[in-house]
Amino acid sequence: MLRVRSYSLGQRQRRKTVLLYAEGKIHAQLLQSIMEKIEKLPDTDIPDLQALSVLLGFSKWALITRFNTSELPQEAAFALEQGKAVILLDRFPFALVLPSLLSDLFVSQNDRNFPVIFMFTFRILRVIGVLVNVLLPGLYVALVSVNPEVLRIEIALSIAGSREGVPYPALVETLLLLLILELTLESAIRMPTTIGPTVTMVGGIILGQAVVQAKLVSNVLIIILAASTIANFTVIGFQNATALRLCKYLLLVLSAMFGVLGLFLGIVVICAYFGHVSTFGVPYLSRWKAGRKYG
Amino acid sequence: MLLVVPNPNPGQTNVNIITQSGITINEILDKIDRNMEKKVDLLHLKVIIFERSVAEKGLSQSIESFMRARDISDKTFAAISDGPLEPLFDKLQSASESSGTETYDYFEKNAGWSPEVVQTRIWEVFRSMNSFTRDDVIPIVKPGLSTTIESAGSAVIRNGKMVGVIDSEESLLYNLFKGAGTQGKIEVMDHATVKIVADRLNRSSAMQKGRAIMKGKLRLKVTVLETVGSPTEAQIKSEIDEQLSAHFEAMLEAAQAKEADILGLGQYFRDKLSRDDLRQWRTKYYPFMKFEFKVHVIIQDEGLLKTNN
Amino acid sequence: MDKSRQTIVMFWITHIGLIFFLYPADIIDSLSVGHWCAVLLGFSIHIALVAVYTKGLSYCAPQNVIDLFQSVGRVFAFAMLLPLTLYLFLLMIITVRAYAEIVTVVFLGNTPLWTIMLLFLAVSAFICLLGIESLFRTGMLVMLLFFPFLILVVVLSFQNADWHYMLPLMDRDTATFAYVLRRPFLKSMFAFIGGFLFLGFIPSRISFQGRKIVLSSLGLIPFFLVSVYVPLLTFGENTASKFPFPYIAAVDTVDVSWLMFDRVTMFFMISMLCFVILFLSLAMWMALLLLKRGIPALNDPSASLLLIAIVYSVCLLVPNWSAVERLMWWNTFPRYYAAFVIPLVVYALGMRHRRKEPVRA
Repeated sequence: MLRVRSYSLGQRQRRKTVLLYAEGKIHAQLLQSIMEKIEKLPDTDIPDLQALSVLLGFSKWALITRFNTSELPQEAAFALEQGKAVILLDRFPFALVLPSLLSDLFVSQNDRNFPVIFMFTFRILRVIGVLVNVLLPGLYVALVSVNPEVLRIEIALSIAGSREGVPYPALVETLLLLLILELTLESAIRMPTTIGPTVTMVGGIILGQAVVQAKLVSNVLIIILAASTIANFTVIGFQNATALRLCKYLLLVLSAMFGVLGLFLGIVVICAYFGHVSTFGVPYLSRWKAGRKYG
Repeated sequence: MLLVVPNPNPGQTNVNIITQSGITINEILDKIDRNMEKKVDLLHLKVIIFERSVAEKGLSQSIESFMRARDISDKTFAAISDGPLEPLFDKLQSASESSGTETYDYFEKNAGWSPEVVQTRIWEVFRSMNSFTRDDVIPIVKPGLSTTIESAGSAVIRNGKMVGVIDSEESLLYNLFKGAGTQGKIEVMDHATVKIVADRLNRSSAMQKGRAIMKGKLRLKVTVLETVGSPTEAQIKSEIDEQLSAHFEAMLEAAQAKEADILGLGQYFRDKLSRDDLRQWRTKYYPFMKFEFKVHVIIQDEGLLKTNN
Repeated sequence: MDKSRQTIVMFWITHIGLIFFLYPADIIDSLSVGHWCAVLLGFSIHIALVAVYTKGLSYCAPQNVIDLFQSVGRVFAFAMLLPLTLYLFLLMIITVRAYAEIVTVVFLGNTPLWTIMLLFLAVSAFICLLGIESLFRTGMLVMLLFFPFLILVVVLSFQNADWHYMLPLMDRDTATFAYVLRRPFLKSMFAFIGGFLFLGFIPSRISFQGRKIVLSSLGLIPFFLVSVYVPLLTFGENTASKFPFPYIAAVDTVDVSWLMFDRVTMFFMISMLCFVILFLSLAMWMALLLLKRGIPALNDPSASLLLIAIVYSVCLLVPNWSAVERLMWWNTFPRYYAAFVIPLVVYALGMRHRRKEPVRA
């Protein structure tokens, strides 16, 4: 049974807020805590999602978003079926699904429109994408600057050959190229469509050929970072993708200092952080089933 | 000590040979490092070649220091050079077009290895130095006339010292015994050449009246590659049997005379002898061991032509 | 809510992290033939202790060990738990120092020792301060990520095994258990005993069934046997006893031609280290709990900082590997105390509690 509760939040801009949940499927304690929180909200305005998350009691500096945003009604409907709560805010073009879980990175409702084998293939592909995205730059820096004995000699020689003449250490090289890639990604959002393709072509030539020939970076690094950036976007949700992009830098710094050891310890730190995050008492890492007790 | 150092450039890799001498390996490395503009380390060391004279004096100390060094991998191949090292390394430098990994490719299974060449790694030699019941062979190489490296049989190592030599055919038998002999070719009494497709060795051991007896039956599946004249299948089979058995017995006798258990036969007596007896395996039991060896051949096919029956 | 699975995973992590490094050397040192006997003996002691401990804990269900002891008397609790605290302190110091040393030895560390120790302590402290429940969840995730790789390496490590080295199976030394009182065997027991004490300290929100824990610890037997036998099978007893870390040396000889990495050893060791970091966080959490209950004056941030500062400074003072070995030997006495006395006392108190229950009702 779909239940709808409406509230009016805010003082100067009264924003109509609607909380949707499926009775019987949603966990009672979760519902209770959400409702209590919303009803006790002070009369401050909610101009954006940051304000909403602060009002709901989530930390301002959290790396992981506590709610998923979705623009598709079918996804919100699916979340309701699963026992999650959906918040709709007036004049916001998306629905907010609470609570968010680790599986939201990999599992999309749209997968269910395909046969089961495809669904599993896509999910496995996304997991591999996340691992590649987060590990690959750190692995490159670790294997090139701190632990060169790990690679087979043929690869080691070819990487060493490609880095011949590059004037700065591997970490600086990687950070430089990552910065350029991030700038490209960010500008691509706002680029006018008329200029877009031209700039892409120029960017490709600059980043590809010229930078390698000028011996500013090695070409192996370009391949690695291109693979990593592409893998970044296999994850569902733009906010999740950005969160992973930031994790990548942490791993990069740790692996530059401590080699492969730093890389793996960075993974442990990120796992610990994921383990710590929880929304209204629902841990980020829990397995979710409708109506099931969790804790 | 001579070091072959690859010099990577984009597109091409040259090879430098650096020579230095000293008393211990670390001293030599220090000297090399001092005089080079690049930092040299042995992290990717793949093959270590010893000079024959050094091998005959005893390899134990060098092998121990290689095992102790944390940057040298245990999987490094060991080889012995027939003559002095300089001509071999000169040949390596002049013939190097690829990345300087020829010596390594020579031993690498997926590259240029063939079953007449024995593959021995440093940790295996170390194991045989300390073991009661096992000795090893190390391949001997020399500079080739038309190729970079040529194989010249293998050296028998007992407790770290080189005590004898076996030739290429016997090295193939050694590999067969170890189960690595497929794709090897055997010349049979000038009548045919066969290629081994599969091999399996059944062994059994027994102690009779304080004397060690082993029975071995080698099952070979071969294909015929070349024939001289027109021998029959039965002829080929019996000739392989005779030839291999004779070779095997000769190799074993020679090894027994030197008290070097290269085939690791002592392993099969571990449950029949107590540990104190095993300590004296090489001196008390091994030289008097009897080995009955038989070869059973199945000719899988004869290539694209028929032979007589 | 039955969280057995998380507890089992944590249990496995703490033990596996300890098994593959130092345990094989001690067992190979203590015997020359028939090592399976030593392994099984140690293991049966371990299972007996775990069974007794979990039984005792289940009798006095929602209370943890500290509550239980305090219900007898504050002085009693203080006296019983002080050696345990000492044990945990020494354990942390030894673990950090020993593994930092191993990292420097095997990974060709040009990094100075103090940075590595700082890294270990910082990461463990971070995980520990996030709370016990998130520690367990982290354990699950880490296990999911690293365990398949671990299994792969274990399977690959059999590549160079010569099964003839298994024989002979027994000899007089083994049959009469003469080795039990020798020093290497006593030292080897650390792999069994360090791990299971945390079961008594976790809050009741994370409940578990003792029976499942005992059964799951049976699953650890293959790992123990593998860690001792793979080096024995690859090298033979004589050569294996020359290595300080036999299992690592055995993995070093594996040649995987289809992988692009030359040294599988390094990845294996680092996954082990991740497990050890989790173990360290758990030990740190237990020690913090004991500290806070024992000296109520300390509150959260200062207690943990104090703990880390003490551990780090002592670690810096330990000069070399033989000093670490001496520390391990000294820790044997608190370890046996923690291993034998505490479970038995818990069991006794649990029985007493159970007998009291019907009377109260």
